[in-house]
Amino acid sequence: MTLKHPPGAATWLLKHLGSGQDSDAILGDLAEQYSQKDSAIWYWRQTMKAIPISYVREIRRGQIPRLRALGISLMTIVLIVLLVSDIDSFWKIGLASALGGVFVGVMMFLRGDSHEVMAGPNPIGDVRIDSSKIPVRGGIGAGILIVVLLSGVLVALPELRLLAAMALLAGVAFGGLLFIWRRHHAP
Amino acid sequence: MLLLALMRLGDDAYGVTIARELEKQTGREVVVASIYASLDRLQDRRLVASRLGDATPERGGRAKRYFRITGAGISEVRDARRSLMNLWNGLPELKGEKA
Repeated sequence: MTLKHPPGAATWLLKHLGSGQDSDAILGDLAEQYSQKDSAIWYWRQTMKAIPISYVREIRRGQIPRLRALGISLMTIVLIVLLVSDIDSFWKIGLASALGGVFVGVMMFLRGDSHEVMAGPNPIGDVRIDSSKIPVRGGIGAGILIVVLLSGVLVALPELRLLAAMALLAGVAFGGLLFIWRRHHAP
Repeated sequence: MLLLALMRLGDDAYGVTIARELEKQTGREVVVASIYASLDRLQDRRLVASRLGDATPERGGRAKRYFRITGAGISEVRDARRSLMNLWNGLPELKGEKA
């Protein structure tokens, strides 16, 4: 019996863009079904739907790798800037901030939901300050967004450079304090 | 629905067979990745358990992930069935057939 090989490009995309502990099993299942169905359209449909599903799973479990999160954040910002490139810089920054805030908020909401499910103490490395928790990865995402937005301010609005530099320093100082706090108070 | 599919499939429940069973019963195409996402949540709730199986050439040398329903999962199915039966019993007869 000759084996039918599924479309290589779709497999490559799912292997490299999709992720999660089951990605090998999913690729195996798709290859097995492809050998019987022999439909490239079906295979592409399955892989293209599998990629966003794997991201939602990772975000829900708080397992999205930092570099990938950084890549997604930067790509999102670039896309937003390209989409609104004909409007005023001030509104562009405002819109990007609002969308970034919504993005971080949704991530934190999804991660908050997973707290009830995951077992064990402090499974995702949150920092406890008083009665509230700051998710470390959420904080990193927010920090990246702030740095990118401030860079935009520095380039587009030179008169605000001093304010932006001060805000950046304050952000770095706050991050450093959180880091020190965690080292001394982590369970 | 997934838990029922696992019960029907017994020891042969992995992505391909589960997708086939669901497609057979619902008549709709199933996204394989969504099965794993749902089973992942059920596994978090300890309603299903999984193990890695053998790899075959037609799978590109990749291992299968077998799933089985746990005792807690069976209790969950029983509870869901009881609730559904209660809801059905409270309905008046449907047009042309009994509820």
